[in-house]
Amino acid sequence: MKQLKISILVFLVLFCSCEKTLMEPNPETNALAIFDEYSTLVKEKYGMLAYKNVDINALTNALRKKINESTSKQELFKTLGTITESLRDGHSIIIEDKSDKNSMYTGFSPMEGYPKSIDIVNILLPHYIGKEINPGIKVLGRNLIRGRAIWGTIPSNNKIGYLRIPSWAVAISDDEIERIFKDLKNTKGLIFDMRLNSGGDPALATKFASYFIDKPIYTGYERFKIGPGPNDFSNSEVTLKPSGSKNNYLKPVMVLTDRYVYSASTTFLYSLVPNKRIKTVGQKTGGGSGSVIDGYLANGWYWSLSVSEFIDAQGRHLDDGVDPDIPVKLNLEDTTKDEVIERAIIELQ
Amino acid sequence: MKKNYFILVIIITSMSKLCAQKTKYFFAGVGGSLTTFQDTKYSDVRYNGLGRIIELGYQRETLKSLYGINLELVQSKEKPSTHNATIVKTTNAKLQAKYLYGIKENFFVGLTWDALNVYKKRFKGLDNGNIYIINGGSVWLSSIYDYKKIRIGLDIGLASYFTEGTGFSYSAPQDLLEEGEFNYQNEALNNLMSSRYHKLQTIPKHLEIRTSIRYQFLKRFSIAYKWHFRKFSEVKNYPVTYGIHSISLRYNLYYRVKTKKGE
Repeated sequence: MKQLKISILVFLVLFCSCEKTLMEPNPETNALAIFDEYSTLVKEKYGMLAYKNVDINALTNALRKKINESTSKQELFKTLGTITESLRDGHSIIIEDKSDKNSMYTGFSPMEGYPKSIDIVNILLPHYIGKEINPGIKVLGRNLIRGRAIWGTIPSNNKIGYLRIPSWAVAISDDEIERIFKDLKNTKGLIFDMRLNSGGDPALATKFASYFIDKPIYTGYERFKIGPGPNDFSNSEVTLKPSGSKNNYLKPVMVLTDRYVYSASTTFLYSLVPNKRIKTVGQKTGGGSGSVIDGYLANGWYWSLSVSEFIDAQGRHLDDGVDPDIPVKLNLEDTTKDEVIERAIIELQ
Repeated sequence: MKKNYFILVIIITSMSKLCAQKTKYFFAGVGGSLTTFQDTKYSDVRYNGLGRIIELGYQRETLKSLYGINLELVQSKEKPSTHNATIVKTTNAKLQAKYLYGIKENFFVGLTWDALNVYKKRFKGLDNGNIYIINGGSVWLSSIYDYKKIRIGLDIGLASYFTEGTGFSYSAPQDLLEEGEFNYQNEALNNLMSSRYHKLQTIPKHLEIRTSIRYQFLKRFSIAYKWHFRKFSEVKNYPVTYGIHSISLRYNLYYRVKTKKGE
């Protein structure tokens, strides 16, 4: 018995508080260690190196030679930013301090170089969705600009529905979605205005998409990075199932797009593309088809990376955006009408 | 999960009929905790923090057996070891049932079942990576040794049936990603408590140890130091490790000693 007592006590002494001895050591935070940490993250986790045609080993080997003990914080950030920029991916960014708006930031903006696609204050409100011109318009939330959802009919044709979701980064309950589609049910066609919707919750976007079908539809596959090796991928084939609601919208739909249609909005779009009743009108979309993960480097710098890529039912890589079925540009000099909406109305009449 | 609770109730009820009664007590405990964490899939940085522990339970002991149920909640705020960019709120909730057989008057050996063990972290400042969760249960080989007013406990995790909510590259279970079942209409993706991707892992691949030293300084009061260690790899070569240390004061809300004739 005495031996047993001693054994238990020895065991306790040996094992108590020892989880740290069984952990990996804390990483270094010098410039070279941070560079190596970020390089490894991109090599192992980024899901589109091949599609983006990035030779990550050549790039990081060349950049690593520039890092030494005297490399300043700014120089190091710029060097890491070179890797980030090479990905040409709006989801992949690096930020020195996320809580400080003035801190260093590197990312890619898919919107750069594209013209303005919508004028809410001078065109959309006075001619389409403002309460004065369109008393029947409904809104979830504060107002017609920042509302979670805006819906009703077009003032010039009350048989054409209008739905605008400014962002997917909001909460819209199942009951609210039902209410929206119930109100739109008696229209003969719908304009779904996605312009400026740069994403948010893809599950919410998918829920909306499920209202536009009455039977399951194959939408493509998401190719996920599942391990550190360059070929460690797994494909998730995606079939969209209908919502099951009696208010599903099965009439023609014109989805208005621009370069801001990104991320969860791309999720929404690829869910609808196989549907022949649905067409896109406006500008090329922004893309951002990958799922994103984020974290902190050992020195506290924030990073995010796309770890997957979506290839749609037509075999198209969506990350750089997709051209609309009907390209239309907004004429900002003529504030009496929105050419994109007007073209959608023509298509639906 | 309902099935688990049903089995738990059956076990407790049946055990109460098997054994000659010695003591039974309901207890509540509070104290402080010290937690550590490392997920090498994303970073080797260790997280350390201080917090609290709350426990509630019921235990019955005879010369031949010791059994009971216990609810334990640990909460802490952790900081990374190498920077100050984030704070991590950690919660660990456990519902446990145990049955130990008395080998000697002061030495018991048996099993503990964590019917529920949810370990959740929320990383401030992160978006998709902000929640880390392990959800499931474990079966332990348990031993208790009494020496005067000191009670020493040692549990070795035999098997664990659980889901880690974060895979190699994304905040979804690794099995879900490997099996190609990722889509936004997959309920298991949206429900952090789903058991659909639970996986059985056993020692030595899944290493889990608990120790405790309790000092009963008054009839109703005791103080204990406990340590819970866990290490496993859902993705090969990328282990997750965490430890929870706690010191807690326990008060027996109801305490009854009964000696049967012939004992």
